[in-house]
Amino acid sequence: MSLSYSAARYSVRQDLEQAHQRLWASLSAPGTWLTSAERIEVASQARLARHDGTLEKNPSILSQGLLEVAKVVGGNPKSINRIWFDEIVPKKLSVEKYVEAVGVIARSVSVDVFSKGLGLSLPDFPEWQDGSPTMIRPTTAKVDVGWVPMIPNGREGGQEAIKVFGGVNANVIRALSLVPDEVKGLLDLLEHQYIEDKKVTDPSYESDRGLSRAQTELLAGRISALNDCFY
Amino acid sequence: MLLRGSNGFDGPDSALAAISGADCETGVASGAAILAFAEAIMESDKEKLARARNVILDQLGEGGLVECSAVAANFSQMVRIADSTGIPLDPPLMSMADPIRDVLKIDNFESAKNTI
Repeated sequence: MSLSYSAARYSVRQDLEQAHQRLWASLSAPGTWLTSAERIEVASQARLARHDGTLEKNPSILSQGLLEVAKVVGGNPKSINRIWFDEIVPKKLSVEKYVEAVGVIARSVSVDVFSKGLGLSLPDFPEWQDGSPTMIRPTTAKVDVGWVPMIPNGREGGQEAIKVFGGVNANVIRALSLVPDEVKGLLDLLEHQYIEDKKVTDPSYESDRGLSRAQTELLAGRISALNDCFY
Repeated sequence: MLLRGSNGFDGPDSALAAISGADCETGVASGAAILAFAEAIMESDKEKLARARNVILDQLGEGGLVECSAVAANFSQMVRIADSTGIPLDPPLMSMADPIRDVLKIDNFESAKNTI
């Protein structure tokens, strides 16, 4: 099922709608470490957790670790801390699957929050597809800062760093680089929902969309504060 | 941090406290409407969100509403990635943040333990 905002009361930029369509298509494809069915179920359980704090009674396909990640990252990210992470990874879930699940949940939340903002019904998730995860791990990924392995910035990250995030980038972009396709998806959304990655750190940059840069940053800051996010 | 240096920001640093929920002028056009929308979209009160949406439509138009929804969507995504991976603030951002951490009261956040 393709996502569409054509019936929305308000006109949505075509580039933004297409970015969300690409996200929905990527959810339904096999991932790097998760199957298509797992990706969709993780996003679905995260949506449930966010809206009423519960999970489906018998979600048959998800491991306990994936379920817990869906519930906490989707529904209560304020509660995340190192102790919780260490209880999940690697005891209940490999770090590769964890990073992919975080990317899937975070990106799918984008669509839900956007739809909520416009007063739209949340779109149905796409149908899952056959196929196996590729299980390709970046060779340079290692734990340097943060809890999960990431492709290092600069020379140490080499061609992988260049290919995945342009060689040098902020920690929040590198954070998902253990699963490069999740970074690709994140950068796509960043550009169409906020500002193109290369222009983010220039506060004088203005897009020609509906908000000034100051209005954009005020809203971004308040959303982050309401989520108790220091970063 | 990016707000303070951005075009269209015309307030003192104390105005940044509005980001942390303080009742003060934002120094940004339609700032109060934007803050009310941010709060409403994070809550489950549909009527509150409908009211906030209408104020945005009145002040910023349909394009403004779409952008507010998109930016809120984006940062709902980013906070989950930052919180879930325990990443620290990048050194250049940390030095930019130092002067305004007290104003924003962000050291009190649970995630500050991961980030600083």
